[in-house]
Amino acid sequence: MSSTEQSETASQEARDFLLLAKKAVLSLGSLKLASILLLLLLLLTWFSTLEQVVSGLYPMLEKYFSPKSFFIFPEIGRPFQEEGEAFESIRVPIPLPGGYWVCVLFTINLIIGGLVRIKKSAKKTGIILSHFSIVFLMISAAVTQRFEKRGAMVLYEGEISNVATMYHNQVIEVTELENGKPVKVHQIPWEQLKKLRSGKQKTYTMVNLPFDIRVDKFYENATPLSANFFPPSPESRAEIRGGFYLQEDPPMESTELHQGAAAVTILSKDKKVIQKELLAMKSYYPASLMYQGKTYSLEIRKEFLQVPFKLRLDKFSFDTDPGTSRAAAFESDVTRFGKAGEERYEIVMNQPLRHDGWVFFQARYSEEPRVPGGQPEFHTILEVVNNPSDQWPKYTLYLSTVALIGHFLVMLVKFSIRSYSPSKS
Amino acid sequence: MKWATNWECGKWSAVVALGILWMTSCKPDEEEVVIDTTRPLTTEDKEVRIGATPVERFLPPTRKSPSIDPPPSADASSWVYKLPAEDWKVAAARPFREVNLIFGEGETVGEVYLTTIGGDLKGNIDRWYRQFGEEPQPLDALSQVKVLGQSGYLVEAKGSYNPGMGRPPAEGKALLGLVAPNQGQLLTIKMIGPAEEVARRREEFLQFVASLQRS
Repeated sequence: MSSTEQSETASQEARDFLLLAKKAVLSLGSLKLASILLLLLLLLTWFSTLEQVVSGLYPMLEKYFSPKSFFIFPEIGRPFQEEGEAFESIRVPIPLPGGYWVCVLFTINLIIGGLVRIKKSAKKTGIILSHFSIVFLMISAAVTQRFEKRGAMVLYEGEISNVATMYHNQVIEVTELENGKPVKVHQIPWEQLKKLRSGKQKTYTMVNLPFDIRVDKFYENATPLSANFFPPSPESRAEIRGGFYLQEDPPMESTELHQGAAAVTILSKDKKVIQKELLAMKSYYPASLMYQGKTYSLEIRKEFLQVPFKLRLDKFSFDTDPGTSRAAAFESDVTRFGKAGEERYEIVMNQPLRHDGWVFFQARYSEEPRVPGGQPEFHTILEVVNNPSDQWPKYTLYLSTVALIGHFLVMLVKFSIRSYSPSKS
Repeated sequence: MKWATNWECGKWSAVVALGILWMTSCKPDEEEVVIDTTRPLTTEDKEVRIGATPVERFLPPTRKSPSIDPPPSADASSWVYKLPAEDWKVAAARPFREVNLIFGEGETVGEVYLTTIGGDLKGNIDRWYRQFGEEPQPLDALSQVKVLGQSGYLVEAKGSYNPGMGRPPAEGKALLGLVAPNQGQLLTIKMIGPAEEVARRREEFLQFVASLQRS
């Protein structure tokens, strides 16, 4: 083949490639793809709502909308199950793409559609703005998925707090103590612990502590039981430590109610056993360790979500529906301590406290003692949300509303002018 | 020809994609993980009760709970034992002491307590000697006594007792202690008091050790 023929073939291949790329980009932004993706989102929403009844909200969200889910098979409850009956799930033999990736593709489709397919002219401004407000909405959903943190802040009257407890993340904490007071907290994070849900054992080298920790067993939901009162069954192979053992509890529909537990072994740096302990959220006091003249407490807990300012509950009140004990209205009067001083707020249902990217919703209340063995007291439970994109959907709505109203007004004016122009009459 | 080229290209792209997928999904699970995570202190990090026994930690508090009543006696522990003399009494619970007893009164008062701790056996025995300003002894020079079916080492020291942790030293004291390996930890029983009292009560101490059982 001559060099001219070779260069012609190469340029032809380049042209083919560009054509193919153009076709691919255009199909990525096509209306047909948008319709398919919207249909898939509809199916995912429908099946996930059905599955939520069977498996609970959090496991359903993990399954349908996690970036790790590429394909899923929906599992829905058997129809006509009686109330109170344990849910029996049915696997639907239709594979569906993961919701996260459908949303990613839909966002790409909207961006390409907006950039390539919509005609750019002054009269299309409203349409283009409302189109990109939907893109912005999808981006805000992605930011929420990635960065949002949620927890519950429990406050008794007069109590000050700067911390909420996250709903799902469990951590093992080792606290250095001086005269019984915490001075430093070391943490085995949830990203590590959740890998042990399958029953694995793992040794953690604690670089800032004179000992290491081996997690022999981790349960996301378990209860410590007395071996004297409830002897473990031989097949459970439960290890008894200090007269107690851990019994795994079945997963709950509301996984935020899970109370984790772990069997841990404290190891010296040369991997000799120092102490064996059971840690459980269902315990009244932490485990303690005295090693090399220092005192430590060990516990498993839900991860703390630290708020950059303090709140004090001044008063909590609630009203019940007449003749019932069901709460009809809650109110938490709080004081926020910030750099600029004190500010007072009233948090009521649907009227949260918003400050500096943090939102405090009135979630529920409870009546429990402040300290183990104390008298029960009513207290408030605030849902604390930190989401950088908290207000973005609202801005999106404003933008698309203004853009569409503007567009329709322009169209109306044009139509009116055309209808009543002298040439028509 | 063009179709064949596309097919070749597609085939190799698929192989590369599958390879990347395999490499990312089959990441070997590390045997040991280094942790340096700490978190700042919060308003929830309050003074904690240390030395709580498994019974106190996992069973609901009774009216003897320290949060509403004065500290309970250490008989709430998971140990069963026989007091060897009339003037041995159960004392208020203290952190880390699973059994906490006192004997005598006034100037003759002394204490006996049981703890389960980590660390190595020889290291703990050496520390006990050092608290009395004595030179550590080799293990084979120590008497052995059975406790809970295991052999333990009997440690005897006397002189100026320096308990450490900022507490002042006390003159004329003695220690009669036992260290035994038990369930992966060390069981320690110490009698500390005036030197003459500890010497006089040696037999009582050994009777107490012999009666000791887990509940």
